[in-house]
Amino acid sequence: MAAVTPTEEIGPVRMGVRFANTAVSSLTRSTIQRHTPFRQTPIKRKIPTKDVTNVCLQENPEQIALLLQKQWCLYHVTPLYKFSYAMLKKYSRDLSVFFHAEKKRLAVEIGIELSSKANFSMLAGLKLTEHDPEAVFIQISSKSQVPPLKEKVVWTGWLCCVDGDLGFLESLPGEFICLPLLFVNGTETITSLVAAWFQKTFDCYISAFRISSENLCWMAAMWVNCFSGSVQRSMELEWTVPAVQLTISLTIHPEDAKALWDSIHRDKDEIAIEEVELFMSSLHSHFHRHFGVRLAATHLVKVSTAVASAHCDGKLKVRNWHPPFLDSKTECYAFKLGQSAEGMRSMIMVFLLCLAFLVIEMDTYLFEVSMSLEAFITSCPDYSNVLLAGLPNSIYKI
Amino acid sequence: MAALRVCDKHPELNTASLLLVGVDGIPQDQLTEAILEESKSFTVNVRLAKKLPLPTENEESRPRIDLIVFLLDVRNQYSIEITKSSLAYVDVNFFLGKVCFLAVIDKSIKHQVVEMHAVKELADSYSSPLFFVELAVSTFGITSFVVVCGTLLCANCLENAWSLHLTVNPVKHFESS
Repeated sequence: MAAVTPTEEIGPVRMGVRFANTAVSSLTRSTIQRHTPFRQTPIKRKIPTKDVTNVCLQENPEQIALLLQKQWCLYHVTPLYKFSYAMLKKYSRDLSVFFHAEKKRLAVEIGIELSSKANFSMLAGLKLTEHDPEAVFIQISSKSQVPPLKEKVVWTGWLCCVDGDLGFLESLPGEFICLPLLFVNGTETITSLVAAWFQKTFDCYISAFRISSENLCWMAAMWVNCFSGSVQRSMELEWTVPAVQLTISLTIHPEDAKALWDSIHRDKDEIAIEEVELFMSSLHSHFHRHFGVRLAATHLVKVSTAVASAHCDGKLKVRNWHPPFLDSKTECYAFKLGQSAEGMRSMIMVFLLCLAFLVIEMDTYLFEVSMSLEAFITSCPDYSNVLLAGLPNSIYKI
Repeated sequence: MAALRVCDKHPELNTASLLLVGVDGIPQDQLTEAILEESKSFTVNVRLAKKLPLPTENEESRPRIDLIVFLLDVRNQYSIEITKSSLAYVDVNFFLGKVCFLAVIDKSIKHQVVEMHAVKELADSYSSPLFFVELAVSTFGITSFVVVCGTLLCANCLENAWSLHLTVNPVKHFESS
């Protein structure tokens, strides 16, 4: 087979002329480098160690436990202008007043919302490095009109930045605080109201965050990485073929998934993109062998493991994960009560794990924005228009 | 099954042949129509293939290929894999201006399977032009691709005019023409 690639040293003889050295020299490579707004996403991701999570443990673990077992919708927030942790009380009041002003419209749309109260608080300890700003927790409760007049939490949300890109955080002007991810649990009407208030008050932009297939692959690999012997729940992956409305789901026994991952994974401190790709392509080839379907040609839409589950629409859920060292019943009971420090620690660790890379991804986004502006200026406008078409909608709006 | 060779056959009069290589899922018909609609002073012959190497059975009747367009779909990892394996069956002299890449993109991030950066790297490593089109919602970018395609074909048809200078910055040429 005469396969000729451009990296071959000596080209074929043609019409008596030998085309020597057709390899792309570094000089040629640099001249054809395009000005594109696309940056390579990080090829390696850290695995948080126990030392890091120890820091979090000193803080209030009960508060963090509130974040588990709920389905969260993801939103992307651009850096907040003049946000101050000292003024959380004022923000609570302001948002309540804002709700009061909007109550007429709310009463029509939801029916119950008459005395909504917002409450801002710090979610201490939800960070991986000391550079990360503290997370903020927002709760909106409302009193029902019919007795019993009990206060009910109708909306929960929290903003965080875990393991954010240091270069990006430092490049931000002092008045800005970067809390790029907003997790929301509640009705969409309230979410849009809160978003409107945030956008008005902190001059930011809030948009829905979709998780790309590539990120879902990362999640699958990272979560399998923290599987342990006692994990009972099987791992589920879901693909779709949009053209024919077909959904393919694959359930893998946790031990098999772990065994496959262990045979691939080398470094204890970090995970490389090659490992993730190999893990997914192994699953693909296994599926192709048995069912004759090429999963590489489909979209991965959902990853669900014992640790957490994620959907490409930006839905995320962190499960109550039973750590390996809590086998006996009494310990499990203690764990449920939230008194087991070890249990809490591993839960938080897993939690931070799933957040960290999302934030890394966010930073890449923000970087892409500045890059795309640069591309506009440096290259000809026609060309950059073509390139910008590749960016997600959210970029346009920023 | 040998590699695709440049100039191994005689050209036909006023005819240029284009080879579109891409997996299922990319609307090759839509692209072909757009290319054929563009009025040119010469006839364009569009050939479709899912992957390379081309089968040996029609080797005799196949015209000389003047331009190969590799179709990439960012929504489909398999299309990238197939393109990478197909590129091994292309004669190195094709990369002197007779190959280009066309990436079909999707604006919504959730459908994006392949990183844009990876697509760019692939085109860069073969020193060939890369175009982006969006076919799902609009036909964004298709016109510029068709025009540049026409220019490349026109240059490739002439035996002695290698369109080498076009590969470096196709857009620049497109603007000046």
